[in-house]
Amino acid sequence: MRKLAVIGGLLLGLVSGLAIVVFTPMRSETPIPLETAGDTIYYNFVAIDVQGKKIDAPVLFGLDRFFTRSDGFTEEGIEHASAAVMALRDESGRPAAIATRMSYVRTTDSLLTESLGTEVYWNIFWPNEGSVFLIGYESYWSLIKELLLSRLPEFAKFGFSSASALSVVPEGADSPGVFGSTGSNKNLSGQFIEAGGLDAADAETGQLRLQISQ
Amino acid sequence: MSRYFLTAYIIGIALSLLGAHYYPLPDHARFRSRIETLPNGGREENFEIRIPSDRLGIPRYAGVAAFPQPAFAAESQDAITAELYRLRDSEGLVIGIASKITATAADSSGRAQSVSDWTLTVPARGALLLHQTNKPGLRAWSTVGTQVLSDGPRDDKRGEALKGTNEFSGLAGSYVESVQIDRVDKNGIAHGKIILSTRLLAESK
Repeated sequence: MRKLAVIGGLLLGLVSGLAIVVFTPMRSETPIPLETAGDTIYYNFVAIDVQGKKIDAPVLFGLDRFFTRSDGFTEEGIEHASAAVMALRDESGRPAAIATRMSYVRTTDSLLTESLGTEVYWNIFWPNEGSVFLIGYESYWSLIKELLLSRLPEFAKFGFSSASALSVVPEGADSPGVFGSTGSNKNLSGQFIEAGGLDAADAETGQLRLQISQ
Repeated sequence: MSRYFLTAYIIGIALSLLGAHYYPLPDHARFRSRIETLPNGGREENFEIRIPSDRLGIPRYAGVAAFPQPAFAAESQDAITAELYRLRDSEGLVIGIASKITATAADSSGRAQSVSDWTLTVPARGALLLHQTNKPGLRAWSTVGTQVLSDGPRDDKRGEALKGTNEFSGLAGSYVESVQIDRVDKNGIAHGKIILSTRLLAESK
């Protein structure tokens, strides 16, 4: 009976510990609010070209090596990185700008603090206007949590289903935001959020919301 | 009995938390940084891109077609070119990925000029954001030799290192982009490398 009590207690403790990790109140990141006051510019983006590994649950947990993958760089230094050329369209669907998006898995991640995500760098160029750089951080913890809880048998299939605000401000990280680069955009600054999930299909899609000022 | 259950329960929670804390999440391979310290306390670091082998995909173009229908078009006076590359250190090791966007933009006096933005991402170290004015009248990549592409916006004709993150955080400075063509094959494809030579200093506060 003692053995049963120990085994039962251990198993229940492991499950409780897992529940604490999943619903942990220990956070090292601050979500950036979806709705911001002031002028916000909305763009929908679609990937024209994607190179490297698609960031999904197996990649974020380091389990991708156990699955057969055709994507991804073979070089050690960029194994968990990806690059894409994006077409940005405005709210009426008209092409507005072209951009590149570089991302890689954040190495400060810890399951205990829900910190699981990527660093992202955008470079957006508007024809005849100029360009800006965006520095951001994305947390996929809420999407992974939803995936684990509602679709556990399908964990091995990559891709997330929900569109969700991904942008966060990690503790101790460089300030994310918009930094003007060239042309008439040279002195721009501001903040942005990226919303959307990674589609299990070919293209990366989502929405960029920029709040910028001179 | 309950004591055994409670003790095992607490041990179970502790094991879960320890497992979560020490779970081996993916990391990036780290290579020795090839940095040279400058007399002024700054640092010089060269990055290389081998052409054509380090190009990722094909260059993508966008531009504004003639009124009244703005659209992405490859053939346009205002075409924007977006390129993706592998990024190497000066010893030839692949350490990151890079993107380059080249387009026309007006300077502060309204004069149109060719400009380029570079995003250098080194997953184990961080990112560097660069921009430059391109030298006009450059010769095509069909002859052997080295040519410098940067022509400002700094007074010394070097490009500007705008911002860095992580290990590059708090650093700013300048860089020069040059193209070294070693040979041109029978198909007319140039072989050589793009060199990004950066000089960075801690930003003054």
